[in-house]
Amino acid sequence: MNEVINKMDIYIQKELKEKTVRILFLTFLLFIPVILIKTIALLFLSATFIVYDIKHQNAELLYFLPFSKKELFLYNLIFLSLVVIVTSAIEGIFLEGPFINKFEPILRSLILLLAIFGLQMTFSGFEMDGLGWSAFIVFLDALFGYMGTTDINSFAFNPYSLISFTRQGNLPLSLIFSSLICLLGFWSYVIKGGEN
Amino acid sequence: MYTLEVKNLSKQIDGKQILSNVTFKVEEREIMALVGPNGAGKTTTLKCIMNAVKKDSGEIFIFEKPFHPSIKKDIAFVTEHRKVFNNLQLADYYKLYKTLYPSWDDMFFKNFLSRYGFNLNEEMQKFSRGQKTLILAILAFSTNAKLIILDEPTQHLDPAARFELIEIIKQYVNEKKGTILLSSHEIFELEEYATSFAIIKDGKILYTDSIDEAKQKHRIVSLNENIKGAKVIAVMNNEVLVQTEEDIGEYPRLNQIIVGYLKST
Repeated sequence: MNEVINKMDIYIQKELKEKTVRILFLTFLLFIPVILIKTIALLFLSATFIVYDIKHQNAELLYFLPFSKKELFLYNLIFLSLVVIVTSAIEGIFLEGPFINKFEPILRSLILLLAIFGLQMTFSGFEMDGLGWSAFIVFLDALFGYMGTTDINSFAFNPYSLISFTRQGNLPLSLIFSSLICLLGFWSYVIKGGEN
Repeated sequence: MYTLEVKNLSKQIDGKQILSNVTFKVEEREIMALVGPNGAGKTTTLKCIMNAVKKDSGEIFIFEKPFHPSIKKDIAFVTEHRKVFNNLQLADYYKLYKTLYPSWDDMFFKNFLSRYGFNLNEEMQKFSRGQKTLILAILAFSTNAKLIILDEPTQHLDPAARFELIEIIKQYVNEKKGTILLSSHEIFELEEYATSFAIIKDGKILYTDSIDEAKQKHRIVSLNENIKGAKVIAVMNNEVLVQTEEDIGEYPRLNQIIVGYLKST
């Protein structure tokens, strides 16, 4: 267990030192409780780590070291989740209502992160531009997700709005959908990338 | 025991066949040189071994087991272009390697640091290409990994540093019982330290053997000499490189065997 934590720690330290300004700026943007800003910040922040290295052919340097693709995928996801939890928790503190409501901004941001990171890793696994293509899919998700209403009894009911990771009409359903996208990213980058 | 076994390794990139049924073995405590011209497939072979590039087909056994990421802590790699992480100092690299490799030899690393006067607070990308080559090689040898893979290790080194690195390579195999796989263009210096070699051209292995065996099996004969029963490899100026069991002509030098095979296709 110690070895795993040490490896993750040294990897995160390397990333922070290598990309300090970009990470700090994008993390700061995540504190702003506006979904559009959060989405854009998450798109760029998620693309700052391994996705950036794959695009700029720096990931090879990591593959020559004792890091597996599975580890790199998980380290990225864990670190990004921590950043999202911390930045969204502050928003939750100011929310009124029952205590459980305070976790809603965290959950919403995590759903967004799982989908965006999953998309970026999926496209990176296929040697496509992770940032560009994920931005396009996020745009499509918002376009189709925000059409109509989430009310099942309404004439304008849009079933996709329930699972859309940007609109998040139904939190459990959109969590399942974004988790599936994240698993797709794992398959594309790790399994298809030659690691079983 | 084989430290590394590559069987029928093939790889296509953008429709171009880069490797075609590459097969060779590296025995324990061997210094195997992968030699060939630019674009022959040396670097791709090394990358496939580390799974940095996914192979299309073939098998790779390291320490007699199929590749698994967990064995990477027993393998150290020095890349050809000496690319380094941005904004990282030598001290960061030291910490990174020390954390990732459980058999790290601190004394060995620090001895070299003081001998060459490298500053730990210097950013890696600010070192010259030759300095980076030496630092990355020293980092690799300090890992005490069972297998060290060096892509063009003596490139960009001044003669003194080159001599020193060759001595370290030999010491590593003799004293630390490690195994080395390297790629090189420098066919004239290989005889000094390599124990076996594989000649690669257009993604295919043309010949592989130990250096001693290869010299035993080949002869350089003059054009008018009787070479009945010998297999002609290549005609080089007024001489012919042949493969034979007969005691004819002269024993070739390693570079003559390599050039002969490269000219043969």
